[in-house]
Amino acid sequence: MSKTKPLVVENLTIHYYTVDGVIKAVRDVSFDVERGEAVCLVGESGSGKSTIGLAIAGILPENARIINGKILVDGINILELSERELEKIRGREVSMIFQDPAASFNPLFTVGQLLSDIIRYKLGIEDKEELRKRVIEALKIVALPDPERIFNSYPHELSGGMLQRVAIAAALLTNPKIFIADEPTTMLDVTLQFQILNLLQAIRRKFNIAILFITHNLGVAAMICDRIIVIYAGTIVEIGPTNDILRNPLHPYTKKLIESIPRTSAKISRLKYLAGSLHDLREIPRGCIFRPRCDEAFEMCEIETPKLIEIKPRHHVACHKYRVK
Amino acid sequence: MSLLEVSHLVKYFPIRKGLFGKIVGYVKAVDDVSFRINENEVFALVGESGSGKTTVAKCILRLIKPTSGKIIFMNKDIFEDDRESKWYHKNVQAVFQNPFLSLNPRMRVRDIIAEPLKTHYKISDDEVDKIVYETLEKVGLAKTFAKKYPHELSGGQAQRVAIARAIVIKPKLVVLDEPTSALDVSVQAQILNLLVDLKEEFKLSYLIISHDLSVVRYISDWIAVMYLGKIVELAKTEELFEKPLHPYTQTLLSSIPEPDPESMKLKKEAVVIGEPPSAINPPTGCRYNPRCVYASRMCRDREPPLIEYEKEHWVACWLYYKK
Repeated sequence: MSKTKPLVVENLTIHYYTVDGVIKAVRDVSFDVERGEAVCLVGESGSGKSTIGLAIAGILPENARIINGKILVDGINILELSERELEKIRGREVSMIFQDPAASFNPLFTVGQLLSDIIRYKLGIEDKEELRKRVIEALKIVALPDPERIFNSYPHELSGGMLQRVAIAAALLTNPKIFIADEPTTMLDVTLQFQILNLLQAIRRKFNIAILFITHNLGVAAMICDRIIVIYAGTIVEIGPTNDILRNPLHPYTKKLIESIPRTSAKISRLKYLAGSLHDLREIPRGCIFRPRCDEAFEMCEIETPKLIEIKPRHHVACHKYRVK
Repeated sequence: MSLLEVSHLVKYFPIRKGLFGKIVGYVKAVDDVSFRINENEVFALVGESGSGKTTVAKCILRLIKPTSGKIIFMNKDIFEDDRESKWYHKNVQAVFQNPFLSLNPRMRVRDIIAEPLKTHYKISDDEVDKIVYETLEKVGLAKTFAKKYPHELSGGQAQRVAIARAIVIKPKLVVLDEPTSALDVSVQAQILNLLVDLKEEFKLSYLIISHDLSVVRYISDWIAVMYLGKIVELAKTEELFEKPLHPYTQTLLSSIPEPDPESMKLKKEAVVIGEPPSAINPPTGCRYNPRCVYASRMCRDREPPLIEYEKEHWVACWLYYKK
């Protein structure tokens, strides 16, 4: 049945070639996203979460190499496709929205021109009336007031929140199977963030689209996602249903991450935090990569890299603590 | 005891157009804002982009001159006498959002931290070194950092250097403008803890500017919520979180996503409508009325004053006026 899943990632390994050496940014990452499901990739800067998103969208920077693994979009391994075949999937089966909406639009064209171009290029529709109709329809779906006016506006005439709505409309135009949202609300104010998250949720329900949401904010993940994937230094340390992860985090890193967040719901007298810094990803040590920052490490952690094991239904963790003896 | 008093602060920025720079309007960034910061207390200004919180901070730092209003620091009007400026900045320091922009990339950490010392005191190089090392230790950095340049530091380390530069001359007040929003959460937690420790040790007062209410809850004693250049609510931190009165504060609190399944269920019911209007032509009456679910005709016609609805809890909203 795995073939019908909109997204399956298997053993994905990605390296960056830089003047300072090879950065092993993503190592042996596997996960899947079901139809209509929202899954969050949560991690701090340098965890590799955006690299995974870019790889799935087929837009990795030139110095990145996919060393190993498969990315199956609707059962097709996009890593085996030629550039021409990939062009049919990129932006059509897979759509992506980015952090800075102002930077993702060409400032010289109106919203109408930009969005019409996407349909013309990806779906081959040339009829002007039809194009206009479809774009206006999409602008209505994302609840933009006065879509006719927006159609004729230039990106700079719209606010950040409105532009992010236009970006979502643009991503919807081709009826994609999966949406990749890379920190789409990080630049927005909280009240706007709330609106955009609600909008994404509504769209997911309406069109049964799968969403891969990339964020550093566990609160945002809690609001929108069914499952959370916690990623640290390029590997998955924990995957599980959102409620499980937040209530009973298993991995020491997940625990620390949750504890370090200040809350509005309760007064905390002292914040806990994660000491030390992220490992240099040019040299991957033997054993668990989190070990130098882990309070609970023991001998085993130095010898062997922990594998993801299922502790509870659908809740996996990569930590030697949970190994059955 | 009151350390800094801001009264009826107003800052309008003119909008100029055309060849002769004719003034065609004003951005009313800060419009009649008053508050007080006490000694060894943390006062927070929260609000979204465009609410005017940073403009207030800039006025307090004497980086810009207000259109009208007064800022009194230790019983002195800070704009009255320019000769007092050196004395003022010895007592009021700042830490900004992005340490890589606020630290000079061509100076070593030692010189960055030594600069305010040399400006305000005549002391020997040996003594400067001694104080710099002590201060580095206070902010949790090893001596070896003194030789480094800002680009060799991580975000958290650089922010520690910025904090060291601010506290090295033992000021009374430190203005913190979004001190942790450029940092990862685990680093943010370390910096917030450090700020709390330094405040206790040096008996500092902070004015913290932030859009993040959870950060503010952790660190501050008082909170003022700003919306389009006005304070809409002002209260002690616990009081504000337990009993938010203004509809905007309520919306703001319920919009924050928290990694907590129970609290998220409640939040799904929160109502947020519309986008923040511009400060160029703020709505008449209450500035929040176009987005407010309780807005009545009164709210569209007349601007509500900031009243003390309960003891030490001020709110500017017609809903609470009758009491």
